[in-house]
Amino acid sequence: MNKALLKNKQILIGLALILFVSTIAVFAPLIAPNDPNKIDALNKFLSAKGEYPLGTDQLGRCVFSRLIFGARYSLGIAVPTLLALGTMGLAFGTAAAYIGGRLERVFLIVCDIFMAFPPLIIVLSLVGALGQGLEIILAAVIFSMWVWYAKVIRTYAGIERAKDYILASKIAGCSGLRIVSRHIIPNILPQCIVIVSTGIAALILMVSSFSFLGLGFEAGTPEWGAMLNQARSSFYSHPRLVIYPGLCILLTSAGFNLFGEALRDVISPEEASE
Amino acid sequence: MTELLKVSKLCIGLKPQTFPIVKNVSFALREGTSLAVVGESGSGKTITCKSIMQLLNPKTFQVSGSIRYRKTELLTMDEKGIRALCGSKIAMIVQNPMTAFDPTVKIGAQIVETLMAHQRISKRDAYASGILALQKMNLPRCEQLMDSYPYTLSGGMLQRIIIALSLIHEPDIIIADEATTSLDVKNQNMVLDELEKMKRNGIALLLVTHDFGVAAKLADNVIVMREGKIIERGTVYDIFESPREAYTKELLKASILKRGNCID
Amino acid sequence: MFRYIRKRLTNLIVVLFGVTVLSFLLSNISPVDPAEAYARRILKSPAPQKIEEIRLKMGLDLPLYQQYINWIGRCLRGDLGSSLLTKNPVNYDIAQKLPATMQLVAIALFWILISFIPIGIISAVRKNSLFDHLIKGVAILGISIPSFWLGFLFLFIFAVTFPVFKVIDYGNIKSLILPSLVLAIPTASSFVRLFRATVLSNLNKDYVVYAKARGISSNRIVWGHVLKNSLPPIVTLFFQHLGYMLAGSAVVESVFSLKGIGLHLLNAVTARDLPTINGCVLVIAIIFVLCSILADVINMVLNPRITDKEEGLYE
Repeated sequence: MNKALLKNKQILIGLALILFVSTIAVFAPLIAPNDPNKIDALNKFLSAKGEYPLGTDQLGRCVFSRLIFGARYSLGIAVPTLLALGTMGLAFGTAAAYIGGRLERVFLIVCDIFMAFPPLIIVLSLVGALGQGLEIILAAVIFSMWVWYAKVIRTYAGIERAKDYILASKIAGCSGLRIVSRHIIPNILPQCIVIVSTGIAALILMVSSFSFLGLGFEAGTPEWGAMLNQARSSFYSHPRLVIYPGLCILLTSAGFNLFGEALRDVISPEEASE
Repeated sequence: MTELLKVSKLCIGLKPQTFPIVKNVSFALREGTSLAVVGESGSGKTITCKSIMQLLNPKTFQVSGSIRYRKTELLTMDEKGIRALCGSKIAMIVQNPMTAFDPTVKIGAQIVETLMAHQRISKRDAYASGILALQKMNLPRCEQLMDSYPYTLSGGMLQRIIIALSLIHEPDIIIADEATTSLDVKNQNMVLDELEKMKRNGIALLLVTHDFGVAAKLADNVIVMREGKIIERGTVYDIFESPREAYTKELLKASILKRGNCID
Repeated sequence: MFRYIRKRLTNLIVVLFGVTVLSFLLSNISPVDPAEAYARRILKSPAPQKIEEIRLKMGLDLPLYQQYINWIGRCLRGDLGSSLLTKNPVNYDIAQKLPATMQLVAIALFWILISFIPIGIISAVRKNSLFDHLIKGVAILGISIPSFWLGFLFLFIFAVTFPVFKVIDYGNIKSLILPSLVLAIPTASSFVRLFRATVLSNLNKDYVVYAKARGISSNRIVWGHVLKNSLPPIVTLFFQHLGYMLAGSAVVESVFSLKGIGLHLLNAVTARDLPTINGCVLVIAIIFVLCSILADVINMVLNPRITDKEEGLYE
């Protein structure tokens, strides 16, 4: 399977995009030619040249540097949030599937109740109630979305648990924790990577749409969605200020989606059969 | 006696590297006779019979050679032509009746659909002749059967419906692909009896089986396949009385042992 | 069959109950003291005992479950409180804004419906063809594109560069074409991916082989049997996405300056207009639950086997 992965062009393109954006995020201060927050009132809406590779924005800040730093915000928020979601999902999902019985039923009821609220609605109502900090938005995102991950993982873990080898290892005297950690989790890991990868893409879109709506970041933060929001008033005169940040969001989420979807194709049985 | 079906130099490979699954297989099926293709699973017998009806996915399988029904070449025939033959002149009885029907559509509708695919007939008439066909198979409460979903019926019941459906257009050839494998002993005997009846009525049978008992009961001629090749062929007497290949002997022994266990 | 319906109904009641509890809790989570907020709204500088009086009058001194019962009672009578922002009753505001969003979502669902079924089926049937690869690329682009950005691109292309549509154009169906497309494209893209996979797995099923052997034409097999068998999982998702779109319309309404429930909710969030937020949340959640019932009913018609096979999740 590893060979198949390396041969798959789509996976490679996805990985390359992910690596590209991550490198930019990590080395942002080294790559960016200017301070992303330096306001230069005399040089508003400059077009691209010399000092400013992509020109300046409505406050005379270097667009290129802001885009570079934007990668930090997008990845820096989406990746840890998704790891939190994934860990919670893995813990609750495998536990529910392994223990089964009444606990699993309660778990499913909780899932159904949470899933009756579109995540955006929960986030909006929590933000409305608690105020607009970034931490509150992230907590709200986790609160609203953990069941989605837990439920999918429960399904995968349930399928795995029903297999004979789990019964065999039970008979052989393996402890529950060991079965879950040594057998169930490693076997559903590929599916989990797919969920995590496409989930990061979805989260990047979600967080950027929050900041586009003016939720979450302080004014002036070089986050792509926020940049787009600030540039919208000058959209018709300077469309590039809207185009660039959107393109960055698209490339980043496309990287994770390309990788995740290609991996899904490789591991899903109906693609491979016949 | 005319040759109804003539398969010559049939080769089937798995794409993209055309890994060979069936190698240079030739046989003929004459009017009113029956031929059993015997072999273990993976010997290529099911693939061979699927290729006759163009049931293999052309994107996955590379088929070459020739398959003729009377004078017509089937391998190169277009989709429309082959579907017109299938289910009318050449009918099939499948291995697993439980999954053979669309689970979301009532039996009656699937029978009507089959009839309407082959003849100009009104829905109402098709429904009536569907009931008639089921009654011929001695099925109970046929109206009710027509109105039930496949998953509510037993495997034996469904296999009888499939047999009824295969006879509905008075075919020349019936291909039975492991038709008894997934059934219990009682239903196995029922299916064997029906196949015997077909043979008496002059329908040519192509039996695909791993069970020499089935071959012994129904076949005039037998071919033995292994790893995609025909390793032995002859009349049913030749094969049973004096098998040449060690592999055939093994298979025979295994079948007889199994039979013995079943009957007692 | 009846057992199944009973199970689903019990399930529904439990979920509806949970939804109201969660809505209630979400509306009570705010650190702002509602009695004080209310007092400040009607009086300039309320005395502490005046606030206490209001607290008693609003029933805020009661235990939480008692408050919940009172709240449910008010909701059932259609009283969701009144907006801090517009001063109107919340349900009046919602009734004003919801139809526009419903119309937008309905058109978006129409786009989704006419696109994903044929595209998904054709790319599954012609797996690995040029068409399939092309669609795969477009679909991944579709799920990766930020919808607000797509909205601006559309505005830029179709309203500025090639003025097919007016930039600001209210009150007719044509004005909803671009926004509904923006709303539809991400969902349609993910549906195409999912539906293609479902159709592919169905194409490999025994019933397809036997249908061919019976002489049924491949068109009829694909567009009749395979389609019918592939729909149930996507029907559930389809109605789920209806709920998402009601909420997700905020982004699109913001880009296209449409006055719908999404933007209304967003304004309420920015202004911390709690009664409006809670009202919108409850209404959207209830619409969401009703949609899932509709999805269940359609699936029961499409595949009667569900009613027999599916294990009761909980009773």
